[in-house]
Amino acid sequence: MISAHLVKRLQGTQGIFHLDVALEIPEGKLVTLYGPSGAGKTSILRMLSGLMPPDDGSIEVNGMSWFKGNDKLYVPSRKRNVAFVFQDFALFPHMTVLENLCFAMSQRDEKQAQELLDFVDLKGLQAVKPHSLSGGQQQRVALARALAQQPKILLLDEPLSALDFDLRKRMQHLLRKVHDRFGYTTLLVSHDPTEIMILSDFVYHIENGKIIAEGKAETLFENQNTILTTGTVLEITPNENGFAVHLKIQDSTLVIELSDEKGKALQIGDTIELGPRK
Amino acid sequence: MDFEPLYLTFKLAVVTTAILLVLALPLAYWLSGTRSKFKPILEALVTMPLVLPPTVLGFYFLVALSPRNPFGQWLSENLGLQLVFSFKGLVLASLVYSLPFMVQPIQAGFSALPKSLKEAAQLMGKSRWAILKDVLLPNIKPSVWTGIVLAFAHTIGEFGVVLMIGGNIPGETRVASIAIYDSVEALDYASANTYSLILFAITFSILLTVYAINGGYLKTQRT
Repeated sequence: MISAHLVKRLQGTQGIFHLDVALEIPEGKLVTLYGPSGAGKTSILRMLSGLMPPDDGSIEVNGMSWFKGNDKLYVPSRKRNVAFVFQDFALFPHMTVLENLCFAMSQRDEKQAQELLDFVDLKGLQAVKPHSLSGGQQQRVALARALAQQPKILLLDEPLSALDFDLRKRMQHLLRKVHDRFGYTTLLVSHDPTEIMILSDFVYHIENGKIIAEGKAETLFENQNTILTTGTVLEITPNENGFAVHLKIQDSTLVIELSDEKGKALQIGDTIELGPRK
Repeated sequence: MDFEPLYLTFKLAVVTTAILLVLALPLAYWLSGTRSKFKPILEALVTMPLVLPPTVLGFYFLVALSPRNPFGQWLSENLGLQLVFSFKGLVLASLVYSLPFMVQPIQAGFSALPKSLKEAAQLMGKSRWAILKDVLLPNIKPSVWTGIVLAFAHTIGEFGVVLMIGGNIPGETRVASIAIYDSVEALDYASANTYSLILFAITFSILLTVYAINGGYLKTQRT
C-alpha cells in the first residue's frame, strides 16, 4: 500500500502552478494517472521514486516512511527499490540487452534475465546492443529490465506513447500479462482512455496539479461530461472486436474501438461527436 | 643531436596528462551536474588559461613559487619543494595551463548524456561511484580520449609558461620547444629543424589516430 500526499511548486508551460495531490495505491494494483500534458503526472512519479524532492507532504510505502515534510525525513532514490520505465527508455547504450537486465538485478542471475526476455518476446536478442533494436523492442527491454529489478513499485511514464497503433495494442496486452503474472504495485501515466480501460484498476484524473476526479476507469470516463468534443475519422481498421477507429481531435489523435455495426457506418473524413455514455 | 629535450617534453606531457585525468574527471563530473552558484566562477577559472597569455600565467607562478615570497618559502621549508626552475614546477604549471583542454571535452561529454541514464542506475540502487564507472564513463569514452589527447598535445606545445617558470636548464626544464628557440638563437637551424620535424610528426600522428578512432574510420563497417 502506498499512501502519498505530495506538495510541490512546479514550473509548467503556462507558468508556475502548485501540485497538491493525495494518492492511495493498494498493494498489487495498477493505478493510472490521467490528464493533459503539464498537469504534473510525471512529477508525481519522480517524487515517488525519489528523483525529485517534494516541497512538503509525506510518502509511506507498506508502513515504511520514505518522506515526511515535517521531520525532514527523506529516503534517497537509491534505497527505495522503485523501477521506472522512462519515456526515452534509458537503456544503457554500451551494454547488451542481457547486460542491461543483469545490471538492474541486485544479484546477477542470467537465467532469470533470459526468462524475462522470453516473457516479453525478445528471445534471441540478448546479445544485441539497444541501438540496433526497434522502438517497440527497446520498450520491451526497458520493461523487462524494470521487472529484473524486482521492485517494490513499478512506475511507467507514458510507456506506449511513442509506439504505433498495432504495437501499442500488443504492448497493452503485454503490460496486462506482466501485471497479472508479477503483481507489482504499478503506477502508470497515460493519455489514452482505451489503454486505461484495459489496464487500470483505478484512475486519478489530474489537471493543473490537482486531482479533479478519481474512480474506476469505466465509471470515471462515463460520468465525465467534460469530454464532449468532435473528432474527424482518419483511419478505420477491422480487428477482433469490430473496428479500431483513429480520430483526430483538435491537435491530438485518439483511437476508439467500435462494434461492427457502428464501425461499418463510418467513412474516413466523417465528423463524429464524442460525449458521455448515455 | 641532443635528444634529452624531446625526452623531457614527452615525460612532461605524460605526467601532466596522467595527473590531469585524475583531477579532471571528478571536476568535470561535478561541473556537468551541479547547480551551485560557484559553478560559473569555477568554470571561468578553469577556462582562463585558454585566453590568458601563457607569460601571464608563468609570471604569477614565478612570483608565487619563488622562495623569496611567503608561499614559496613555506613550500621550501616545510615540504622541501623547490618549484621554480625545476621539473616539478613545470608539471604544476602545465597542470593549470592544460586543465581546460582536459576538463571541457569531458564535461561536454557528461552533459550530453541523457539524464535518465544516471537516474535509471540510481533507482537500481547503484552507488555514485558505480554509476560513474559502469554507466557514465563507458558512454563518454570519445570525450575522455579527446581530453587526453588535447591535454597531451597542448602540453607538448607549451612555451611561454615553461620559459617563465622553468627557464632553460638542460635535463631539467629544457623541453623541445625551448630547445628549438635556443637553437634558432644560436643559428643552429639544423637542430631546430630536427626537433620541429619530430614534434610535428608525432603530434600529427597522435591527432590523426584519435580523429580516426573517434570518427569510426578504423572500425569494420556495419550495415
